[in-house]
Amino acid sequence: MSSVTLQEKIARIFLVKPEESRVVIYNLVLFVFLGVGLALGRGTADALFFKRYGIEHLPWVYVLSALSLAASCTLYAAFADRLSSERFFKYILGVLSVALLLVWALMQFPDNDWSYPLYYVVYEVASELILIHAGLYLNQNLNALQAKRLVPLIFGGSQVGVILGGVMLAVLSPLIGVSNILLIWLLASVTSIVMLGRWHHRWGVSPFYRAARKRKLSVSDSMSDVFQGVRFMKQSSLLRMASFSLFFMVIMFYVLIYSVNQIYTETFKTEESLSSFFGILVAVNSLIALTLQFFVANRLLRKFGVRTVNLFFPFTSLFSYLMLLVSFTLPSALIGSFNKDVVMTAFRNPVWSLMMNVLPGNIQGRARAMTVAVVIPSALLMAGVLLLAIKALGSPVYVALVGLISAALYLYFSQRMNRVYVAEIISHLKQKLTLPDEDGNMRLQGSDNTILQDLIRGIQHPDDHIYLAYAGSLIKTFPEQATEIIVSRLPAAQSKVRDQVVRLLLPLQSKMLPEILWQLMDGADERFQSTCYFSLIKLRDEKVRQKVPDLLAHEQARFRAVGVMGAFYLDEKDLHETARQVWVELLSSDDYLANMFGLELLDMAEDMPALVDLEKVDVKHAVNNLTAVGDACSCLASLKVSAFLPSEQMGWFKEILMHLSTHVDRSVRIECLHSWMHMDTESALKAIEQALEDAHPEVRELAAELLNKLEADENTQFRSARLVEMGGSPRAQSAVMKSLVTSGSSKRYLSNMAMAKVEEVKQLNEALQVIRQVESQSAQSALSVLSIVLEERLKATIDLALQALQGSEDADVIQAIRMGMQSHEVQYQATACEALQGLTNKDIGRALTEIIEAPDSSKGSCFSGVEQVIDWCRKRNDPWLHQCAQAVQTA
Amino acid sequence: MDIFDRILLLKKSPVFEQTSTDDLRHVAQAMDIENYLKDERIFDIGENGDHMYVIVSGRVGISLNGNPKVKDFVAELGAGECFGEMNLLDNLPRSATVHVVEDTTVMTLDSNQLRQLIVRYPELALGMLKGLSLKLRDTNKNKS
Repeated sequence: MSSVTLQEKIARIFLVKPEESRVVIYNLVLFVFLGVGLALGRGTADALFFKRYGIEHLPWVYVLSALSLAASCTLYAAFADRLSSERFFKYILGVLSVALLLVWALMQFPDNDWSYPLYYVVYEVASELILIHAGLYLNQNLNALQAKRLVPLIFGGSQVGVILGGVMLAVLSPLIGVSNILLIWLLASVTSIVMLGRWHHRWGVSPFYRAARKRKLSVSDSMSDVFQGVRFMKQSSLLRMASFSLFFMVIMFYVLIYSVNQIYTETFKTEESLSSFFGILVAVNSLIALTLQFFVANRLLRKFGVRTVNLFFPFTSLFSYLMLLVSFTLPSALIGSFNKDVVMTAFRNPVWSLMMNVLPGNIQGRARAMTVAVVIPSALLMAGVLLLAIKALGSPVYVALVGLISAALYLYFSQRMNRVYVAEIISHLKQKLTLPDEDGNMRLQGSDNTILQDLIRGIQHPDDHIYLAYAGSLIKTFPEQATEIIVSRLPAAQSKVRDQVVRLLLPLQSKMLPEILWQLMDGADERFQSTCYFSLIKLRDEKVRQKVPDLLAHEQARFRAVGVMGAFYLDEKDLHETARQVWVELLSSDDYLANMFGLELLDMAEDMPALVDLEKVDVKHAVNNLTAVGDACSCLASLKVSAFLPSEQMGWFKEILMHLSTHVDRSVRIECLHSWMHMDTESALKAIEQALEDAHPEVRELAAELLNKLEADENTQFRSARLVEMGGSPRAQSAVMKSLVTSGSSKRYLSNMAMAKVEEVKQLNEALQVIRQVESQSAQSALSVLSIVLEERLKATIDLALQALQGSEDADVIQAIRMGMQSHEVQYQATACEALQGLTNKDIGRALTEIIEAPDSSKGSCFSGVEQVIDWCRKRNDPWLHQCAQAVQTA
Repeated sequence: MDIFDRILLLKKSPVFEQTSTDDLRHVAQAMDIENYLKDERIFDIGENGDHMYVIVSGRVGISLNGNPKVKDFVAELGAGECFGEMNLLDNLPRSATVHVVEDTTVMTLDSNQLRQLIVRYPELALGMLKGLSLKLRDTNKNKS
């Protein structure tokens, strides 16, 4: 077996990707040194304090530790987001090294009894800060997807260190004396500093470090940071629940330490035997924790998810206290130690780190620091006070009872924490990706005067297009004031824009508009004049009635068409015959503009039923004439006849429609689709299927909508389902899916559709893996493109599955996940992936997560070889994928 | 040179790397092939131009010297690399002179062709925006 294969095997067992091996090895070694230090510190601090100072003083040391932790963590919080995590790590370890040297020197003087509680406090503060900061350091160096796989493994490195430390403690304590072990911890800290320095000197600052604002530091700033963190606790339900959970966990934890150490101190009579026992206990427990962490924790996390694993430790803690209540002896103490050293290390610590990952990156450090600056010290203080109070009662049963209650509350708040976890993920994604949730104008409706003033400023803008855009918004938000404000700017606008603005104002039916239009007409160009006449007729202005005969006789086709409209719209019966004659002349004219003005009158057919009777009027000439011109306006005008054509004229019009269905302008293609709906169902369906593959999303979406409408009439979803199941390009499928979701298809139907897409995702993933293997050995460009196309299809089909879920799950949540997946930021992708596990449909969430997190671990049951993959691609109803596969086969 | 070769070359350009192959195939089809001999200049610094180029084969040198005749190369580009892509979008004068170091074949696309393609295939523009946005992010990251 070659060494590469072995390396690959090891990497696969530990879920490490080849490109990650360097960073994993570095972090493992670093954490080994940290672990050695912590194990030496724990054992020596306990042994020295219990034997030289007395365990009965432990509650007081808890109180002292709480105060020291609060002060040091406030300082930590002040720096946490400002310095890169590696630099801060060096500072923490540097201060620790100096403190260890000082404490060791003090211990050399036999009269200095207080150096032991001091050392105990130094250990408590240092171990807490190192653990918290190690989590932040990993977060700044691994993305969230990596973190989920690698954090348990790297924390396993610290367990190796703890085992080594335990063995060293057991062996060296009798040889060199317990107090001299401090110097070995000092050495481990200095080595860690050197490692951090060298690594980051070579590879730069932590890749996910985002510096917070910079300012000069002061005590008040630090306090302000503490309060900011507390405020954030109020805003974030996850952090709030996590804080409560942590509070009771800390009480439970320290009461447990007190209980088990009481038993150990009574059992082991000398300082050396106690220290050696601690060494062996730490080594054994750490070995078990390490095994669990390496081989069980990450697999359980992937199988059951963060939320289930989060409950392991609360349950085992409850069990430990029950045992202590039943029997306050060495076996119960060993179970308690197992719980706090093994279960907590292997399951609780990695899960806590993962859950904190969900908080927004820029406040993560401060949020973590706040939990330690406020929550841990206050909980530790509470534990100290409770123990002091209970000590007076004299029985250890009361101590275990307090621990049991704390463990129960810890379990309760862990469950609450689980409930808000997914909500926090979604909220974070939404904030970061700023999802549009409603129409902007809807939000502005009924707004205050400030918004109105802003809109007025926009209306007065010298750029006509800005004026037009603001006019649209003002009409929707302040319809009552809109007319007066908008027309004040109208004379300065270009003729084309004036036309558009007047047409925008028409639906408001403002009483002041006719008068304004008559004023504006003076001196205006012919185009705008005709628009004014058109608008006045629409507003049924009395004065304009007298103008209709003149308009019918006008030399310009534009005005004659408005005259025809006036005669019928205002129901001037005397003019009907003349107007109809004028209309026929317009349609039969060789001037395409006359044809266009004539056909545009069909837009108002509902209001002028007397005009429209195409059985008696020949429109074919006008339609052909306009189609031959070919521009979008002419073509659009020609399509207006579709709704009015008698069935015997459909034949020639279908040919026109087929021709215009490939028009370069999307608005023509859109209008064509509407026109097809007036033809027979079979022709309409054929046109719709073709339009679903259109290059423009609006055309595709309309096609899907019309398909849905046709199917609703026929009371079947057969064709949509077939289109989605049989493939089609992802864009076509997406349009159909969107239409199915918005049309309110049943949840079960959409859920089945999503499941079908997940199966397709699995097939695509396997096909991609097969092609990638062959691609690396081939110079065929078609094969490389096929690989890219399959990858695109894989992502698009994942999105389709999620799109289908929008109808059966919380649509907002799914939308946020989709945005996260499409984002190019790995952190958001990872957060979205995490949110997938919170879906009601667990099967889909799990299947998608597996493929996204480990695409190359597919089981490979779909395809026997590359030929089968190519054949499968060729048979897909996806034109581009088919073309690529065909090219590969030909080559 | 078939459409698949062209797509693979375009995928290497920062402007098109994020564009879906569904849209990129239309760009690939619209591109022209041009050949240049050694010591020719593809364009000079300061001149107006709206073409982007992707090198199919050969080698070119980029000079920022104000005198276009001076071959003071700040970089040399080979097959698969592209230049002039920003002129597709900004229409500003060329910021460098491109000298042909070895006989070179390039694929070219002008802004007018691109505009027509975007009108017809609007999702092409979204892909290009993604590519440019990523490039901007990378630049910002490197700068910070």
